[in-house]
Amino acid sequence: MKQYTYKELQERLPDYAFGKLRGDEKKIFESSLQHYTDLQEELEETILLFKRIEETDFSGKMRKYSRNVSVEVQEELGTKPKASRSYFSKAVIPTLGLVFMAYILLFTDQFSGDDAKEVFTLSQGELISDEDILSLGSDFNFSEYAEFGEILITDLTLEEEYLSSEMDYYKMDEGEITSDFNTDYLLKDLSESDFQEILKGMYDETLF
Amino acid sequence: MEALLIYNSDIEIIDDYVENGSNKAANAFVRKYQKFVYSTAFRYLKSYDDSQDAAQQVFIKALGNLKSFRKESSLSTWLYRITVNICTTMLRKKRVMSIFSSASDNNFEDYFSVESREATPLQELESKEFEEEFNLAFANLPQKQRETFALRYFDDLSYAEISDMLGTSIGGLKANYYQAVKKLGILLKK
Repeated sequence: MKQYTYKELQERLPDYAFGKLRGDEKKIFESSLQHYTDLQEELEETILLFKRIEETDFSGKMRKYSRNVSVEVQEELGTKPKASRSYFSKAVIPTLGLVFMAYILLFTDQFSGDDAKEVFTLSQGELISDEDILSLGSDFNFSEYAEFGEILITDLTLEEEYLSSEMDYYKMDEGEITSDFNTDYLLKDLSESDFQEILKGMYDETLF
Repeated sequence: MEALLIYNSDIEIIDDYVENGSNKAANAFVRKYQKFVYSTAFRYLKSYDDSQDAAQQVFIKALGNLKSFRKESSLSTWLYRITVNICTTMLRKKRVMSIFSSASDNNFEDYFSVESREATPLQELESKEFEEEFNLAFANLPQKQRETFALRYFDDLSYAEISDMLGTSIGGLKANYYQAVKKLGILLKK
C-alpha cells in the first residue's frame, strides 16, 4: 500500500481530525500515521480541542446573525423605482408643459392690451393698420374719434416739454387734460411732418 | 398559492433570475449564500452591524451583475471576491473616519461571542472564557492562515474553491490549514 510522507501526513491531519478524509485517502493516512508518534499525539490534542469548538457552535451563530440578510436585500430591491414611471415623469410631463406654454403664447392674446385695440378702432370696429396711422393727414378729424383723441392727448402729456417749446398756445393743466380740451386747436398749426413724427412716437408707446 | 420552485444547481438559480427576474430565484440565491458572505465579511470587519451592511451590499451588487457572471468560477468564489472588495472599501473609510474619532471599533473580542443558552452560570462562564480565548487566538493567526482555516473549517469549501478565491496553490492551502490548526492548539493550551 502507498504510504504518505511526514509532510503529506501533516497536510491531511486537520481533515482527518474533522472527519473529512474518505476512502483510500483515509486508509493510507491511518496506515502511514503509525510510523510517527509525535503526529499521533498532535492528532489527539487536535481532536480534543476542536470537540470544544464544535460544542460552541460558531457556525450556528453565524447562521443566526445572517438569517435576516435575505429579508433586507428583498426590501432594498423592492424600494428601487421602476424605470417606466421615471420615464413618464422625466419626459412626458415636461413635454406636455412645453406644448401648453407654446399654445398660450401663440394662440391666445392675453398679453395684448385691450387699450391698444381701442386706440386704433374705427367707428366701423375695424383695426387701423400701422400704415393707416402713419398716413394720417391734417384732414383727419380727431374730433370724430373722441376716444382716440383722448388717448392720444393723454400720451401727449408725456411729451409735455417738447410740445410746449414748439407750440406756445399749447396749454393744459399740469399733468391733466380737461375733457373739453379742443384737439383741433392743438393740432391745427402743426406741419404735416411734425404731426407724423408725433403720431409715430405715440403709436410705438401705445402698442408696445 | 404559488408553487415552490426547487433549484438543483446555481446555474438554475442564475438562469431563472436573469431570464425571468424571478424573486424566488433571488431569494434562493441570497439564502444559500448569506451565511457565507456574512461570516466572510465578519472576519474582515469584526462588527455585526457592519457585516450586515456589507452582506446587503454584496447581494445587491451581485444580483445587479448576475447577468454578466461568466460561470468560469463558482458562485462562492465570485461572491467571496465581491465581499472582500466591499469590506476593503468599508475598512478604508473606517480608517479615515477613525482619524477624527477617538472611539475604537476593534471589538474583535466579540468575534464569536454567543448568547447564553440554557446552562448553569459556571458552564456559561467557562464557555464565555473559552470563546474569548478562541477569539484572541484566531485573531493572532496570519491573514492567509486565518482565511484558509475559516473557509475550510467553517464554510466547508473544497481546496479547489479556496485556491480559486485566495490565489494560493492547493498544496500551499493544505500547509496553511495545518499551521493554523497547530497554532490554535498551542495558543489555546496556554
